[in-house]
Parts: sequence; C-alpha cells; structure tokens
Amino acid sequence: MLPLGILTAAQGSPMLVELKTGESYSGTLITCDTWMNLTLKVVVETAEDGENFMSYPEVYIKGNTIKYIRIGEEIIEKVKEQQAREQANRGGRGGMGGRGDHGGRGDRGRGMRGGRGRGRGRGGA
Amino acid sequence: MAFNHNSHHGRPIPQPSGPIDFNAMLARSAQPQEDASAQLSTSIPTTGYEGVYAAAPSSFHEPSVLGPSSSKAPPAVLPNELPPQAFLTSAMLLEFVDKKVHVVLRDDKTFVGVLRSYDQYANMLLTETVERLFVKNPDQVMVDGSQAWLIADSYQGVVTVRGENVAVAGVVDLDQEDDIRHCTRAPEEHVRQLLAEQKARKKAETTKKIRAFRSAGLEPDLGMDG
Repeated sequence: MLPLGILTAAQGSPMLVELKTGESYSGTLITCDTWMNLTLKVVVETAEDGENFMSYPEVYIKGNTIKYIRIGEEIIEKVKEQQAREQANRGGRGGMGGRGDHGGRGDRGRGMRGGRGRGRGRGGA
Repeated sequence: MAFNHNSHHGRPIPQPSGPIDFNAMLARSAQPQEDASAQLSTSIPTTGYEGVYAAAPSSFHEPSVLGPSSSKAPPAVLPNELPPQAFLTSAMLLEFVDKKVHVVLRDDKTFVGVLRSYDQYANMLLTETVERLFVKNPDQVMVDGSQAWLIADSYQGVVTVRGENVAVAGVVDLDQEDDIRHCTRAPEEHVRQLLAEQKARKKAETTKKIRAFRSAGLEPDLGMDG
C-alpha cells in the first residue's frame, strides 16, 4: 500500500501533521487527495516553539507545505483488513496483490479489468 | 585599459595610439559584422530552425561543455556491476522495504523506523518509528577535544514522511546499532532539556550577530531570523 493510500485509508482517523515551517496540526482527517492536500476537523495548532496553541473547527492544509504526518498505529491493521476484504471481493483472482504493491506506480492490476487503454489510465483522481 | 575588441575572428586589432579615434573604432566594430552577414547569406538557409542552429560562428571550435557527442565515449562514472537504473529512487528504496531505516530530514530531524512503503516522490511510510534526538554531551570530551554525543529516542509510531523533506535515507546495521560510536543513551527529558538550552544559546548568538550586521549597515543573511 502506497503512503498516499494509507492516508486515504486514514480518513476519519486522528493524526498529527507537521508543516515544513514547524507548526503542527493535530485533528481528525476528513479528506485527502493525490497531492496530499488535507482537510482536518477539530484541530489544535501547536506553534513552532511548542508552547502556543490555537484551536480551529476545521483546517485545509496544502500538501506541499507538509513535512511529515503521524498516524495512529491502528491504521496498519485497518488497511490490512481492507486489503483482505478487497481480495475476497475479487473472487480469488487477487493473487497479484500480495507483496508486490510497493512498485511505485500504483497502477498495478489495471490490466486485469481489461478495457482501459494504455494512455488513459491515470486520468481520474 | 584601452578598449580591446577581441573579436572571435581572432584578428589582432591595432591599439589606437594617442587620442581615441571614435570613427576608426566604429569602422572596426562594423567590419566583422559585415563578414558575418556575408557568411550567413552564402552558407545558411534563411528559413527553418537549421539556420538558427548553424548560426554559431564557424571559427568556434572549442569543445562543448556537455562533452563530445560522438568522437569519444564519456568516462564511466558508475561502477560496472551496477546498472544506472540502480540509482533511481525506486530501485534504491525497494531494497529498504521492511528493513529498519534511518531517515534524515532536511531540517536535521532524524527518524528511525521500519520502511513499509514508498512512492515515486520518496514519500515514505515508516512504522514503529522513533525520532532520534542528538545533543553534544556537556560532561564528556573526547581525546581529540571534540565532544561526545547524547542520544535519546522519542516514540512516534506510524509516520508518513513527505519525500521532498528527505535528505538521507539508509538501512540501519542491526549489528552495530546498539553501540553507536561516540554516542551514549540518555533519558529523553534530559536530552530535550539540553537541546532547548542549545537552541536558546544559538538564538541569542544569532540575535547578537544580526545586531552586529545591522549596525554595520548590512542586511542579515537568510535564515538568520532571531
């Protein structure tokens, strides 16, 4: 599962986002996109010095300002379950999922559904 | 110094003696241009991009900065046994997956964790991550006069690092990690306290430096915000 896939799976979970500038935002993830742009709700901002705080009902964070994100440990289990479910839904054909999923492209398995031509695969969000 | 119009045609130009003769200079500066335009009209087609590419002066024979294109093979930089693809981000990180990895960020933060996945931007997913805090040990000076280090680990759990912040990533040698050279483990609070003191000292120093810069009429350097 790619890092952004984990983030997508973490929608609804609490997380801490540290920006490049040093401020950190701790809240619950509402949505994220492929640029790592995030919206969080019930957020506490910690200033760079770690001593000043602000709270917001909702914030939007542009992905390119992020340094790193801390997520709860339970996300790993959640993703594992989700992947197992998906494999079951595919009716036993999911053997290709396995461990080869960190290939860096995120377009594996496209060929199985057929239909989609080569040049159009990355169109959707 | 006298005006030395060293034209790329390499013709020596007689230095004017006595008062400068502007008319002669004008005539000289006009001359090579006439030559060049004569060459252009004879050898270069007036339409298409070939004209642009071929317009470089024909006497210009110096080797290109990018190296010769066909005459000589570029010197081999990479070791023979490694294909150049081995140095792509993906190929490098593929070997790190499910291993304990040490990641240094651009802001000198250091994470040590198990790399679970990554993508084409070197975004990394680390599990069981600790942030490693380093501080110079005030109580122990090495034989060569340098200070030893105190280290502490602060548990962070699952961390997604955005790729653009990664400066260095490498696999941890499990045989050597318990005995890091010149480093002693210390309680986290102690190290954090020392780090805070160090930061405060540095800030005071920078403020002083900025004041000195300002009083000398100079604008302080970037990153010297105190």
